[in-house]
Amino acid sequence: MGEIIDEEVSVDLAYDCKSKTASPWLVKWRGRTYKIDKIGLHHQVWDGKTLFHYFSVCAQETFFKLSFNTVNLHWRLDEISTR
Amino acid sequence: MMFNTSLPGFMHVDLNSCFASIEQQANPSLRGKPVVVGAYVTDKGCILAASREAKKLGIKTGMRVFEAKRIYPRVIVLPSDPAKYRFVSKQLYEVFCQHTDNVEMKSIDEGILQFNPNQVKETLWKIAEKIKIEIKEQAGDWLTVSVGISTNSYFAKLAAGLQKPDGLVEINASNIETILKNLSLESLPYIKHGNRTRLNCVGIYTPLDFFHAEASILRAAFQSVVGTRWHSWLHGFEIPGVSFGGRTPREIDKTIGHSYALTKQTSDDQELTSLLSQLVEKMGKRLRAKNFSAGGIHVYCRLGNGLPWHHGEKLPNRIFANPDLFEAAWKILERRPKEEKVSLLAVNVFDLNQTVGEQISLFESKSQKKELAKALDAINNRFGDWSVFQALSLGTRGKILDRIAFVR
Repeated sequence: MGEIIDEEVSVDLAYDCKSKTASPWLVKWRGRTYKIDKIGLHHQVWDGKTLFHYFSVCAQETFFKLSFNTVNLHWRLDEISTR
Repeated sequence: MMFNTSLPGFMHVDLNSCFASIEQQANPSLRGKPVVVGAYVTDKGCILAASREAKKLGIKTGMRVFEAKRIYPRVIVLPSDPAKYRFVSKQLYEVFCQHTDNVEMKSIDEGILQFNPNQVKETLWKIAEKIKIEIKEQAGDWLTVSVGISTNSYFAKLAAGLQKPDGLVEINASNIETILKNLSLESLPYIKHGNRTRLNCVGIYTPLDFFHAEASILRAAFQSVVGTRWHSWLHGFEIPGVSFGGRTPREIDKTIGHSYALTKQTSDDQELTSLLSQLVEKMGKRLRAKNFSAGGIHVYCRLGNGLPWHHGEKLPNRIFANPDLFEAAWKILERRPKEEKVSLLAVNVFDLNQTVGEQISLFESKSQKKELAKALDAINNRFGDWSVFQALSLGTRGKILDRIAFVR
């Protein structure tokens, strides 16, 4: 089971206009930079009128669950686990 | 009666190891490993789903976490994440709707697709193969489904269960007897201990006996029209308006409730008040979302000595607002044996009715109360759950988890 973090985090997001897909590709957290290799799942959840995008991603041995608040455009790192 | 020889028009699609597969989809490092999703991750937590790797080891849904750990100590236990599962379920539904507009989701992980076989351009088999690919592309590459095809929804469901994971089976007039020959009565959908006993009483011991039985024998077994229906279903015919597994609207909303298993048993009234208040908030919101009022309330406790204690009662007036629901539930909970600690607390309401045309009270303005409850629900819908809540729930906010109800 992953460790709950619930901290603000810096994330780089790339948008590809051809495939019309947006995906995070870089996570900067606690002084380290992680390049995302794989997006496992991208799902969305409404919390009241706020839509959150959740990205479950892997950067080599590390799994991150990131959430993107579409109202304030902030990213949070919800959960982390290592293999 | 002969088995229905028309082209198959029903497809049952079942997502394999639903919750566990979705967790493996989200986190690729879990793939290929025994993973279980528990209602709680503690040892006594009930397992809601086991990955195919865990199933191979003998770990099953419904076991306790400690039982799974006894089988495989390194099993990965995850808490459930209903929002994730609902999202994937919605994606499945969207894939299904690309092929037919007659889709019925039977539960979060299975759906029935109905086609007019004379109007579809390709065989259901081909459509099923496409659906499998589309689910991988649109929902997740780790997700697999078992698909059953037949001339009615009953055999489509049976077919979907025959080959797991990633199966595709068609049941038709040419293979029905071969398929039934290899099954036991209880491996048929909706035949469990009770129905098996009924069938045994009229000399039916195998699915083939069941299949060949005359309608009059089945009527005698079930002692109702249900026997005649079984006769039609077993010969591949669908009965319009009567579905297997799908609950009628009356059954769906017989009760609404919530429960919470305490991590630490308690007999402290203050703590129980707070938990009960939070359970009532969740229950009340669902009640009002369906525009229901309740005519009765029931409280269940599992006590520290392992014994259950419960009591339910009809209410003098129909209620829907949280303070009234709480008051009625608390009155019942106060009667529990106080010397015993509580390890599980559940509350549900019954005798549900749409709140139209209800009696107006002379002494109290129900409409005011209803408007207030609606306004509070609207605030929570807009700003997120627990934006406003009863002060009694303070301290336990967020303890009662979101759940996905099991349905038949």
